[in-house]
Amino acid sequence: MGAARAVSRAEIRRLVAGYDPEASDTAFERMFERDKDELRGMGIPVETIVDVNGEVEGYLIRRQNATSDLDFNADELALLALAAAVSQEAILEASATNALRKIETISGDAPELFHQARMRMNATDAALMPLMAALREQVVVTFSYQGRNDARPEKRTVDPWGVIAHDGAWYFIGHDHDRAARRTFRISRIQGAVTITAQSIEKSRPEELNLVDVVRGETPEQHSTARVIVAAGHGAALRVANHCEESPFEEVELKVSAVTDEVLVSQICAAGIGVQVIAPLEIREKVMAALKAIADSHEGLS
Amino acid sequence: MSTSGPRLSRLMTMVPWLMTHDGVTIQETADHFGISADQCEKDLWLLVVCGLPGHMPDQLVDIQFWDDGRIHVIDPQTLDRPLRLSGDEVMSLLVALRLLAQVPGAHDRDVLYGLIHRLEQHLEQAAVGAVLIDSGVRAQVLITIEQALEDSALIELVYASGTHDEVTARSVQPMGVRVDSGFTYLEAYCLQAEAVRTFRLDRILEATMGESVSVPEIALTTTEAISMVAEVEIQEQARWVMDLVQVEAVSQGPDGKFYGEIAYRDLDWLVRIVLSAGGAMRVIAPTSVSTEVAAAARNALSAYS
Repeated sequence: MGAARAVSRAEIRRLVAGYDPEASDTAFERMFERDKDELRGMGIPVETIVDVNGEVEGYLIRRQNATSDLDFNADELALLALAAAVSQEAILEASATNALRKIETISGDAPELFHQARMRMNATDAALMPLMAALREQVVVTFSYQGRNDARPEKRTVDPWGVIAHDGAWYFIGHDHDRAARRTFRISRIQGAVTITAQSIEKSRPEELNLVDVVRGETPEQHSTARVIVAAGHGAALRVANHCEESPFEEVELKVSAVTDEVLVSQICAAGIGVQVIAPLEIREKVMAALKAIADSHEGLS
Repeated sequence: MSTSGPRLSRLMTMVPWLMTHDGVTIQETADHFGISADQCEKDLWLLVVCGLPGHMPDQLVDIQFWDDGRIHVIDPQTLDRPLRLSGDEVMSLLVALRLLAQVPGAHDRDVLYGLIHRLEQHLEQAAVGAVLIDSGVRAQVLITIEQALEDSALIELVYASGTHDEVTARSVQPMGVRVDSGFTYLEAYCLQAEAVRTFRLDRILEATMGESVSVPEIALTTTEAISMVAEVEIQEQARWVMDLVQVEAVSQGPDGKFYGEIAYRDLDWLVRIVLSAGGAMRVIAPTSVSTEVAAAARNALSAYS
């Protein structure tokens, strides 16, 4: 690091302690590539220098001038310290804390915080970090996923478009190659590790796509809807989820919607006596059947 | 090197920090970087053998730390400046700042949005706006609570209770804000209940400023209600039920069904959860809960006959 000229692979192999001199050429290549990736992950880009003939001459880490990047005023520093504190116990904790430590070398030490225990980000899914890396690098990811009605996990190959926290969980939105369509994945249902491939994405995120709308299920193509009557003061969850503008203290006829019939039926059942389905007949019957099944299965016991 | 990534990253940040904190002790340095004094000393010993390939004495980092227990950087070599923020670091800070932007508080919003914008400049265009937080909190609610906290004013709330599925109007004296398990809560003294209550921000349908009041200081002690446990059975095809509610001690029976426990404090809440499973979940015990579930389902059905 900080060498004044490009250093060739052979020199690096000879001079850097840690590269086994006995290792085969392929083993060295593998270790070298891995170390280059790791350095890049830490914020150290390794440049490949090519000579006039297009041959790789060597590698160079330029002395970087990160000083201006890390120069923040006192107000900003206080907020960055709060941001790092909020990340405690989240999967992002290590990188947020590292960032703050780097910033402090230029901007001065951040103030001590006393209230951090009252604000905690909920982000423990290990898959978040590789998904965020793939979003930056615009490469395809693969992972094993068991959707809400899948009997067993399946391998998914996806162009990453975004990651969003919503309703107490994290979601990953992208273009699913095998289904040739946009899909939303609940990150906690990803099983095992996310693989970041070297393959560039096929489809980039459409400019007009609003991640918040997608995760709230407001997109027209996957809708199940019904008309219901909500009694005065009842059906709070349905009113909130369907953006009801009427006074909550009056009976309303409301159009409710959800991703699938099943989810809609579940939400209507939960509202209990406060809500009645008018149409369509299909949803009305599904709700009645579900309520009957619940009553029957619980009555046999008492 | 792959196992020492975090350490290397720390070492490279340590030298410039030590340069601006000349004479700092090993213990103070250890505290700042969240490591033990022992580890800190090991880091320093490793640093003094670092340098350009070739390893001549004048190409090595020189740090003195053995004389008086205080650390002095004599020659930092090329480690005098910190590294740039990595992609992970920028994104992690951004996510946390985006969360703060949706929480009422004393922070200056202009500074906050400025910071978010500035950090986004570090990212590739495609990654800008690709990691977001949707708190579901209405902008008007956020502004009103922030203002009321600052002015010690009452707020008139229209609240959609998650426990009882009712909508109620309340006058509350805000006390503080808490972020936990992916939701933001307002802790406030409720004039109707004459007690401290917690309100989930995304369930506040409306919030308007009331008058300024001087309610005596109330200590933020939330009394934990006694929690009870219900045993449940979940259909094999309905794993999704476990997304609705935290099911503990889950095991799969030979019949393929899942068995587990749900902790609850409020019977109404539990009944609603069982209803929302639409028949895929059954309460096995206690039977008093089963009776309540059956009654609630019959009641709801009666509207259709």
